[in-house]
Amino acid sequence: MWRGALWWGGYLILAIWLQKFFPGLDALAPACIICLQEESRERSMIFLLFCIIIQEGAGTFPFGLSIVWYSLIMLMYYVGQWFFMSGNFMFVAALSLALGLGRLIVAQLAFFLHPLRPDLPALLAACALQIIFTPPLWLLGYKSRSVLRAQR
Amino acid sequence: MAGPKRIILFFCFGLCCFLGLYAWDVRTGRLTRLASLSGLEIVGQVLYPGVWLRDRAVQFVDNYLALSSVSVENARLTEELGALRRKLLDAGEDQLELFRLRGLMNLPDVPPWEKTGARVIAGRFGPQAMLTSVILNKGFLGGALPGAPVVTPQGVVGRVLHTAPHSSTVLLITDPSFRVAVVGQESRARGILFGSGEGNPLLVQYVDPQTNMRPGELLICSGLDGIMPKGVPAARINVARYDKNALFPHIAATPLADFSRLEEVLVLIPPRGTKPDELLYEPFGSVDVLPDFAGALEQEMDDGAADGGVR
Repeated sequence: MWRGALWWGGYLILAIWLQKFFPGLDALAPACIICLQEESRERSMIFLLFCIIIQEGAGTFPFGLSIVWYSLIMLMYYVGQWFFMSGNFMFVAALSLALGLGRLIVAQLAFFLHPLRPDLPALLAACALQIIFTPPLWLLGYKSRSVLRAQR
Repeated sequence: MAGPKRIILFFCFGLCCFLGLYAWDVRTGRLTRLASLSGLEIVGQVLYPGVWLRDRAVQFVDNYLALSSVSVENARLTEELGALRRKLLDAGEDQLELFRLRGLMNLPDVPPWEKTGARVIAGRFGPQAMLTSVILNKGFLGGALPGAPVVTPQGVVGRVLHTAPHSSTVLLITDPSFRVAVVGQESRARGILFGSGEGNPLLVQYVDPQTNMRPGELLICSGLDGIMPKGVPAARINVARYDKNALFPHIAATPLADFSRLEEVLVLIPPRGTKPDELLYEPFGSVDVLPDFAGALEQEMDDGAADGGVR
């Protein structure tokens, strides 16, 4: 129990630091995928709530877009699960590509709802970071979770 | 058929709930405030110890290991200090004359803004930071109220957007959504300064074509927007093109603050007696977040807790 809590806490801190160094990256998204793969509904809900609070708190838009973003992750995950084995790396690589495009959709929605002008190059860079970083972070999390589970 | 129907019903219900929640929050700002008070504070508390450790390490290296350049720097600073003292002496007489003339003309005194130092602990943070922003280690308990101007000794940096007890988010002057009323220091021509993205020049729009702004001229805040204090330098013009066929001239400027090396900033606190609603910047409509923070700040300052230095 405490090992699991420690792992999630440690990942949260690592993700926050990664987000400091890589502007626009959502380093919590790979952990959300792991949560969904482990099929623990309560844990997924608690972790998603944490993600929403952190991303919304540090964000620059009014509350709500993170709900769309994490709902999109869940939707893409479940749709992808119908067609592929959800536990392999290629699935997550394809999912991260879809998430990169999903970021653009959420951004379009944000700038549609508010009369503000987007910084397009920065937005595209953030989408690219999301595509590049999601698979290795997921792999790191997935492997370390497997080790943790094997020790139990 | 029951499956797809249920999915569609669930989707419609979720969408209605989300839109209701979103509309309510845009009107009241309560959830945004709650997220700032919790999420932004967590991020600040996680990042600050690391930033503090890095600063101590850099300070240690500067103090004990890199002494070779100290004597050269000392000589340069002594020379600079002498020049600044002479400048101050000249300016002192001018200032006294200004006060006398203001008194003669019955011009009202402009109360000075207080300043409090803050450290930049992160840049654009997370997927929801779609606007160009930085996170500071000072929140509303330290004087960083929503809408408060943020500057460096060089010039304007931006304005506080969201705030938590010990952290705040600042919208930078380079963001395309940022705008501030400016005036040319020499030509006295007025305009609105717009950001146009990281690394791009700022644009000055709505400038009277009869004026004569020139490259190299300093743009200072005019104070007409009621947010930035008058006289704070904002940018320096690098292109000024007056075209007879255009309605307004094309004027591009470079921000004075160095955003690539932004580490410490000053948050400006309005003079006491300024109504909070004169300060509040509302990029997303009526967000009623200031009164509680203003009260908290007032109490903090009365207790003498606002130390005025970088934490």
